[in-house]
Amino acid sequence: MRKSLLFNNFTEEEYDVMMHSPYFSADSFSPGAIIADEGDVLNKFWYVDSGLVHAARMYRDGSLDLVQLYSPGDYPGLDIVFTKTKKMPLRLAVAKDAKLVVCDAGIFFTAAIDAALREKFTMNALRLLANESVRKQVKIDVLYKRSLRARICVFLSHMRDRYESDDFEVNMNREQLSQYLGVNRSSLSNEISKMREEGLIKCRKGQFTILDPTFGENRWEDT
Amino acid sequence: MRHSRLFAGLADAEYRAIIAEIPVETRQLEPGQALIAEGEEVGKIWLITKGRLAAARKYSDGSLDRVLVFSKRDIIGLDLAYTRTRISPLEIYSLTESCVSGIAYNFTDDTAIPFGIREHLLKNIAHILADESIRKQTRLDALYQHSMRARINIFLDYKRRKLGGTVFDLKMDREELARHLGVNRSALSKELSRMQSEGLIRYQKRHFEILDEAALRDRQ
Repeated sequence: MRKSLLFNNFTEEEYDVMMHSPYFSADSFSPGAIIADEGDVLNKFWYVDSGLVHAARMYRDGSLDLVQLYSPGDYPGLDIVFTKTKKMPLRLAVAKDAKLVVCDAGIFFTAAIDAALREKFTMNALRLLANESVRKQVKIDVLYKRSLRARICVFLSHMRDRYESDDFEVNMNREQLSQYLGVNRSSLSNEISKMREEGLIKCRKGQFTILDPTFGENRWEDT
Repeated sequence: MRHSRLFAGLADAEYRAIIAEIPVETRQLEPGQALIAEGEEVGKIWLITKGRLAAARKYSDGSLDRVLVFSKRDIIGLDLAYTRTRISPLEIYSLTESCVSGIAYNFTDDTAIPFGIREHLLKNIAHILADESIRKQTRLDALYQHSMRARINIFLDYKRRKLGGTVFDLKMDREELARHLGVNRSALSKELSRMQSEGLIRYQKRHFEILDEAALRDRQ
């Protein structure tokens, strides 16, 4: 957790003060363990140290839709503890053997922690929430498009904006990218090859290069 | 501005103390006028005191994809202000005659604001961002669904949970709701009326009542 954004700008001593407070505790969980259920009022959030946690929507017939995956470095529940109702909208469960740090949300309000530390910690939490919000907006922007080509193009042009370069690396494999784009994996591969043949992009595994200088300026819906 | 969620829970004197310390830029916008360009580094957060604005992706042929609509009391750029680059991924422009008040993106760092109040402001911002995050996540979940009924169900289920009841008024009109859910407007109206005739919901314009809560969780 030391390298997490939540402890950005913390000295070693400050970090130790925080970790030795009663607001943090580490725990191991087995696959299938439900760490918070839909409708629960959350007064804590988690840090994924290792393993995988997912959030799922439940249907009346008992089936589930996986909505979000939390990998090491992520904070399931951090947004929920700051909402008005603090109610979990989904079920949080462990997907792969996980080591989690359980964080009591009281940390943001307690007088037991030095005020300056508390403020720094709150500010870092805020940055995490803000990054998440922008990331989601980009994803909405992508999913908003109907055609596969359009989704790929919107995604790639956002990546280009973010890295301020026509050359960038996408940290997802094809399977993850197809899930992100909400499309079928083999159609995604086909479309990427087509775009390569058309001279729009170059790509090798996760490394993408946008070749067309007008890329991102045209509407893609009708292609 | 006083009624913005940014200043919720503060006493009038505290609010005045903040406003006395931080510069506020007020801008009037005409319909169509841009507030933030795509790719611009955002230097201010903007509180809407009048009118409506939109966030959109712009194309070379002049057409727009409107992805978000902001109305009175919404805050523009609050999430961007706390990202590392502060680069806006979309263009923000005014839909109507609008009035916005701008505050420096890092105003919460201003040490002239007393410590306790600063911390209170940070908490308020966290609350706003968290609510926004849940709203966006719900919209994403809906957009991942292929069927329109599934999208509507996710949206109504979220409203029911957020507002804590089965009867509520939407802020969005049909056009905006269709955009929000990424569906065709007339197809949306048809689907809603089908849901009404199936006895699942009752609605009139923006007023909705959910009659069968459990059905919102039926797999489509």
